[in-house]
Amino acid sequence: MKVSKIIIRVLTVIFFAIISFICLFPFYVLPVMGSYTTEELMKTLPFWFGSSFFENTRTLLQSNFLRTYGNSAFVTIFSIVGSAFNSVLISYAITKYRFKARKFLEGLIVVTMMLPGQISTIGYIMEMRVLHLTNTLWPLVFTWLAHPFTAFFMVQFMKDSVPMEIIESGRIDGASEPRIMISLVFPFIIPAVSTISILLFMWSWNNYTLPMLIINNNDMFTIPLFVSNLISEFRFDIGGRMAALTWAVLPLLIIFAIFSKSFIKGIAAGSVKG
Amino acid sequence: MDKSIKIKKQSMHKAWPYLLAAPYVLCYVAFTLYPTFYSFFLSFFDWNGIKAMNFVGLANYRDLLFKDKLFWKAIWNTIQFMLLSVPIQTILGLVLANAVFSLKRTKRAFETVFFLPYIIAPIAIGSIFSNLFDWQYGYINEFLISIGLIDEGIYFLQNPTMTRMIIVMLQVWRHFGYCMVIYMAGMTAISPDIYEAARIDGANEWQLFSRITVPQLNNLTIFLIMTSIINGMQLYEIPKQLYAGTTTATGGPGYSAYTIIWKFINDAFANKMRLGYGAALCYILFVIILVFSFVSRRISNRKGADA
Repeated sequence: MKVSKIIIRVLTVIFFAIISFICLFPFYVLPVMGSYTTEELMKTLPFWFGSSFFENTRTLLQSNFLRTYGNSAFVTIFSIVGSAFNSVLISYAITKYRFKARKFLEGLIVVTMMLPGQISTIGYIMEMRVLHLTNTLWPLVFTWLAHPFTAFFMVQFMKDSVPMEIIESGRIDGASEPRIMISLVFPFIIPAVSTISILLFMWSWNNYTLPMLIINNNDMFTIPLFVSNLISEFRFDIGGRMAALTWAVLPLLIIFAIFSKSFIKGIAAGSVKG
Repeated sequence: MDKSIKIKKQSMHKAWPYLLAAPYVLCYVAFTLYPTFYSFFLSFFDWNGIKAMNFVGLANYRDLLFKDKLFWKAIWNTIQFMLLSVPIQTILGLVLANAVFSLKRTKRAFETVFFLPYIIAPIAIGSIFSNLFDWQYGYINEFLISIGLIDEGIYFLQNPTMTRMIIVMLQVWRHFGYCMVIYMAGMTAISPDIYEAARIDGANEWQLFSRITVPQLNNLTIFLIMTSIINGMQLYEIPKQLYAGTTTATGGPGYSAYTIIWKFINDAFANKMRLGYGAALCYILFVIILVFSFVSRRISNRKGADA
């Protein structure tokens, strides 16, 4: 009895160790490989950091990597602010006012959440072409401005977490509606806003397909485009590619390290309710 | 208070919700709804975006369904990847959630580590693993050689069967932590009293898991399967990146990695610029997703009725 318990315990530990290793190894390999020159990598596969990471990074900087980083940051920041703004406002309208279109709007959000994004892709690209916005970063921002999931998430959250009494008391005190929203309601919804902001950060930062279809000017590349371009053009510069991937992945890892608790909680809460 | 001011204030009050909803609704109409209809409209045309549009009726749909062999191959590939990866990642997520949930100090650490693959760009995943599975310079071959399992590197990515296995594996790798995290959130909502009562009745660990935990999490399982199906149908970036820059950069060896969205991008944009054809493809994909979610909902409802 006791021996079998120990065996089970040991096996569990081994099992967890293996899965953790499989999850972490690819992230470890990135900077390790990124810190060697390609010639070195052709000879042996390293398990510890080499000395060429900054040399590889310098090569990247020569091919506009900094600008790419700036583009990605621009797109991500505007997407987060715009999308969070829109979804907070509409969810506030849906949950805290009684008006004719209320049920319709709520239904619209739920139904459109099920549509695959590609269904609008071609039309969207043509629309951006007509508006002369291809090869600018704006189409990559616009695409997040009415995102059904973030709106849905905010609606669910506001329903449960913002008491109607607060709003009523604000009205009795004669506060204007914007004032009520900013100073009374906003403090309640900060956790949900940060959750959708992190989600939007992840989606926008990782977005590849739409930028690939809309942007073909190197100056407007975002990070996923830059990396993928690097791969097809310099297939054999493995060291440089790995260094680029390291830098591409790093901001997300940092954000995740800081906010992992609210991140995981947010994703889980959004789905458990939905 | 003056009556007219009061009325004015009230009508202002009525305008507020519309004002608040307006930015979202306008953006939705401009950037999603209109393009969606425009895509539908285009699906009846033969058009490359430059020359005159040519109305072809249902020809795009007909060609896709009855003439384009690659279309069916891509659909079958995508469904295959999905049917294999979704059960594995869901079950693995559930089992791990059950194991990790009762841990005390290490719970958060495992949660974070297992969730990590989910946050990384699929395009990065594709190129990292393209390297790891490389024939000459990949860690996996290196490892297999060093433990003496094989004598020389395996062409993992040039073999159709192994290609499929690798893509399924990557899908599982990316999603099992997500499933686990969601199951763990569901487990916090199960009352400990139920377990207590069952333990008093002499239930063992396995019975607790299969008779209480699994049925209690039924709704989450449905949710996970539905979203995995919708996401799985849209698989594209990982397989694409696995083969980027290789000789089989379109579809992998014998098109064994070709997915629906990959075909969509290729037909509509890459070199052919058949916009109408691509639009028709997306609408067929939409119908397939609808059917899948409808069927899975029916199955899960029936199960729910049995329990």
